[in-house]
Amino acid sequence: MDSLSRFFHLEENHSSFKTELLAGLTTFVSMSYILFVNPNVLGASGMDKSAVFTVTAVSAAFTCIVMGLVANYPIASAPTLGLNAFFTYTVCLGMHVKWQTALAGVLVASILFILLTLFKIRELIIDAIPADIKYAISAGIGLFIAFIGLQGGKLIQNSDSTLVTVGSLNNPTVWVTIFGLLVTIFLMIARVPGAIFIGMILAAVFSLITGQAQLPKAVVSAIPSMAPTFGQALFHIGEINTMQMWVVVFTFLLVTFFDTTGTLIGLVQQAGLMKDNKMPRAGQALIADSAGMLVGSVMGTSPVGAFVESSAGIAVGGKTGLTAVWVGIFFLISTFFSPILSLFTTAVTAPALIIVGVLMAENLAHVHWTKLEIAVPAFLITVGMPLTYSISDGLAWGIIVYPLSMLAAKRIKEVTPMMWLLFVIFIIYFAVLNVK
Amino acid sequence: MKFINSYFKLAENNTTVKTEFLAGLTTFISMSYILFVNPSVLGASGMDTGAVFAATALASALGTAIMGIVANYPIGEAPALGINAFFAYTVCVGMHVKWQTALAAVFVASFIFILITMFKLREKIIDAIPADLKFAISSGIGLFIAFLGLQNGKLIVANKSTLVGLGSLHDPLVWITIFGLLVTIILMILNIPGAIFIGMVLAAIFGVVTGQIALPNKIISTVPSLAPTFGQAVFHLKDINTLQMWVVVLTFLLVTFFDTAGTLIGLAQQAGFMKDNKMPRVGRALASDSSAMMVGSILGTSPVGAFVESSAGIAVGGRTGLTAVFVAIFFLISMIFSPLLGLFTSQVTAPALIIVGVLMAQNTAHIHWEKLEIAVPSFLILLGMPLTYSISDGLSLGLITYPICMIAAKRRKEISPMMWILFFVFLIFLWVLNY
Repeated sequence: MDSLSRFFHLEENHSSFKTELLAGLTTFVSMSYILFVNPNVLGASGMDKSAVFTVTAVSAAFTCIVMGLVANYPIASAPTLGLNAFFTYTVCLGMHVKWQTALAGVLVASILFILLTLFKIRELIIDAIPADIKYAISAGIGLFIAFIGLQGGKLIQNSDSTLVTVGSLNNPTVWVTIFGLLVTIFLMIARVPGAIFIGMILAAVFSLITGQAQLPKAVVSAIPSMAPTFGQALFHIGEINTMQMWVVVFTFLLVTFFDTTGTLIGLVQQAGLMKDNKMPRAGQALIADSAGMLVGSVMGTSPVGAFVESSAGIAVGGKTGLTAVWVGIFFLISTFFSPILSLFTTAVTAPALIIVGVLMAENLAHVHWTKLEIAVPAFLITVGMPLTYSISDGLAWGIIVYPLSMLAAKRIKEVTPMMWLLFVIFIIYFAVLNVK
Repeated sequence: MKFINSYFKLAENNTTVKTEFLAGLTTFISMSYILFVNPSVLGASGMDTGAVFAATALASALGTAIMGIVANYPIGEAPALGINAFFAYTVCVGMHVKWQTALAAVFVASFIFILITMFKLREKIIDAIPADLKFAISSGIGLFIAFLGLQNGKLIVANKSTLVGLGSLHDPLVWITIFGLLVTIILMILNIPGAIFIGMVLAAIFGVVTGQIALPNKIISTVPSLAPTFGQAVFHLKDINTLQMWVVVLTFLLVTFFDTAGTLIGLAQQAGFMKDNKMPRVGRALASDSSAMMVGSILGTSPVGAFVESSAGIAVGGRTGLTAVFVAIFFLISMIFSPLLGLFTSQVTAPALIIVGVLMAQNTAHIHWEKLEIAVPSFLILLGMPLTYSISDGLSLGLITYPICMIAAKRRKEISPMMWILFFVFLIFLWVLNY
């Protein structure tokens, strides 16, 4: 126990073994939906769903444990939402690319990713982003997380005329969310430790009692085989030889780069671990992240990246890599216990996400809103992320406008070369996204 | 001129006739879409679109003039978006209510509205809302406006799996928005007066030059007749005699009450009018607002209320009722110049809305985020307004959680009786709307 404490610097970070365990469990439960969502999404591309289930769990476990041991950050990773939909619907179905080839595309992108990380380019980028923009990124991610929670909890639903509208109270799912939210808010304000996690348990119980969820028939079941997808990326690497495939590789690279970079910045900020606007041990965190993407592609899944839901664990006090290691362990164990996970529906986990959004919104106070050249890019990032439902799209809006507004404010000398480079990259990013 | 100066207190408010004129023009152009959107929405209920166009213009002119002359606020009034859709699609089409009867319901609701205002109840409510929540309301309205602008400008579009998503650069309309937005941002940072308005004009020119917007083939055309809708509300008053119709009346009342109260607070906050968390001459502003609604129902349109787009005029310096008077004059003139309005498409006006969102986001800095019992309701208001696409729904999320949070924080005694009343009112409101 002592050596664990020293290895992870528990005391320095004002944490304890128990806190990290709770944090790991909280993050795992908030993320566990990916075990069911990923197979469903990737399955539409023709991949074997059971294999994807196991790959999702193992690739997540691998990346979490590496992140925990190597970088000592409480950040969990898994195949990310959005990119898995891009993989299936845009690349496989839309461009008529075989899923095996698409996996090869992810593999190539992850190799490029590792190279960029080894040459410290990714670190340079993170350090070069101005403090105000970092705060806007955190706030934007918080709003995005809350939006995910509100949607998942059915408090917000589709509207044909206005895109979004308030959910209907006739939908029993909404009541699970409302119950969970009120209980969690109450517990948090009353400073009960592990409030978010307790809130989730109570919400799960509530949904059982109200007949929203069924008690699972079995508690344990056999682990499905990874064979259908394992190694397919390697076998098909020769197919990355057309312009179209290189555009796919480029897109996997850019979106993962900025989605996970944005997430890492936001999470480290939330955990209070930023020092002088720099992210300590950034290199290690990024390597863990990129390695996870590579391993995941070999096993058979869309790009693996840092999960915003790690914020739930950070909110209950997780500060070190021990949290991430626990998440990894839980992912491994989950391969046996798949029936129980179905209790933690999106409505049950929604309150955690919403609360986290509140906590991250604090960053709004630190942005210099009175200076329009800062306010405009910051605003575009903050609202862009939830309203385009994408971290990188929101980021792109702000990064592209930033040099232009600084130019108008006659503060062009303050724009670092890296910010200009990002400006150009994001313009290319939008051009690539819009290639027909 | 001196009379105008002293009546509207231009000097006290650091403004000039020229600024107020520019502000009036800016707000009018930002609001003018309602002249085209309202007839098309209300038309679905069977109303004559020509008459609705004229009614919209006249109701807006009269309502805004009253707000300007009586309350001396730079706030434009017009048939509100959202509630017009509720009128046409929920009440008329969904509940099979004749549009004449629906107009009668609006009339009754406006009458109750005026009573509540006269008994200073509305004023009490506005004053009782804590400062932090008022800042959250402002920011929430700002986010809502920006969301409107981003959608209108096609920068954000519908997405089957995630509800919202990034618009496509292949859509030429998006480029009008992008051009207008960049130009406006640069002009604003350079502190050029009327930046928002100049940006709109340049965006319109860009649209014409790129063939996206058609130059009108004529400039003037005749004013359509009001006859089909005029007075129908009064003739059908006796139809308000079922429970269902009273629920409709209550809904018109509640939604307009909080939509416009929220808007008035947000706009007053933005213009720097709030003194000690109170809004001066609030009684007059509310009375003007309620009268506008009644006038509108008689002329033949859905509830008239304060328009968030007034923030565009406030952003270029409009501070007094003179701005509103100019807006009213432009609404009257617009009845003849309807072909010109076609130049100011929603992509042209989108940048103005987005910029305004930025300006109102400043309010987020004043919220006590470190106190969770304040942060949670503030956050729900702020995010709720754009994400439920409704000022009153967003407001209800925050006002319902506020007392619960304060109790958890052992600050129960600080909750004023009015906040408890609002808690129950909004609980009932959400119930009624969702039943």
